[in-house]
Amino acid sequence: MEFQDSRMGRAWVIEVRGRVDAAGAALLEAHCHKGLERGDARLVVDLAGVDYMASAGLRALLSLAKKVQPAKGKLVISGAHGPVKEIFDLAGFTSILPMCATLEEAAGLVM
Amino acid sequence: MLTFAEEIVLLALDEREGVITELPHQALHTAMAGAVLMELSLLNRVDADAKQMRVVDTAPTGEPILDAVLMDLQDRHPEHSLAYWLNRLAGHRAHEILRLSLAGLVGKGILREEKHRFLWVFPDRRYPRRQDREFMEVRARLRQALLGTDLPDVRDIVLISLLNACRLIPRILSDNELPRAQARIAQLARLDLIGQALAKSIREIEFALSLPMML
Repeated sequence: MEFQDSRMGRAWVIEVRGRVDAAGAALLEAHCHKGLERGDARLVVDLAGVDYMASAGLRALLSLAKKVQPAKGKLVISGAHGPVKEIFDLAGFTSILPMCATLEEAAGLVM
Repeated sequence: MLTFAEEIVLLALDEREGVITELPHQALHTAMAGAVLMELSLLNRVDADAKQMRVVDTAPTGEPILDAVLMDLQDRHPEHSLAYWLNRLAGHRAHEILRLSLAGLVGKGILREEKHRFLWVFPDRRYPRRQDREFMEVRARLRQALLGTDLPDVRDIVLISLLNACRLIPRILSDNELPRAQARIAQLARLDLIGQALAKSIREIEFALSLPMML
């Protein structure tokens, strides 16, 4: 699993590449926690480069969404497609986390 | 901290009679299986997607029942669906999970065990609550999760999914509160894939049990 960090305005954008299975979910959570500790709570997780997500990945995103709340932050997902989009739909994530098709749209939402 | 199976047992027990009356036996067994799979999932020992569940870490957890189930899961290859494992564990491990959960609650001083005889012959055990603190704490925490608007902790989301599958939410909310919480219950319960599979298995059991009455 690989992460590429960048900034779009006040948003911290993490481009994720690989599989968000149990091992990947732990890495994603650890990577995001580093940013949360330094106060980066406006977070866009770009999943355009992810082709698989399992229940551990869903839980990691729920946990992150919970952790940004006290800092008045926000977690927005962008670029979910194929099987990843299907598992989000199956679990009803679209009613819990904002989902955007593009990075620009997602970065606009976290401002 | 209580395990998911202990929390389910605590909420499902009739407080006066000390027996589980809310769930048919087969559904209770499936719920026990689901509770253990959820615990293993939160401990990152298993992971599931829409099709399959797989062991991702074979390291023992230190909890005897979790480790026994983890061994079961490792011994049977290839990967199977959640429904398969719920049915298999309900048949093979549920009695043990239930027995250990009741023993755990007795050991923690939350329940007491009473031995009776049914028809003067058959042994009958009942588990009245010794003290209400844990029950009230679990209930208060879940009421806040269900009646509030904040995203609950992941563990509480999983427990809500489990309780919803077992139709135990009415033990937490009043008749007046239930209708207005229905959309939130459905939203949170759906977030956990094991909870979704468990709800489907229990609905199938209830349907199968209702068939003789429909004929």
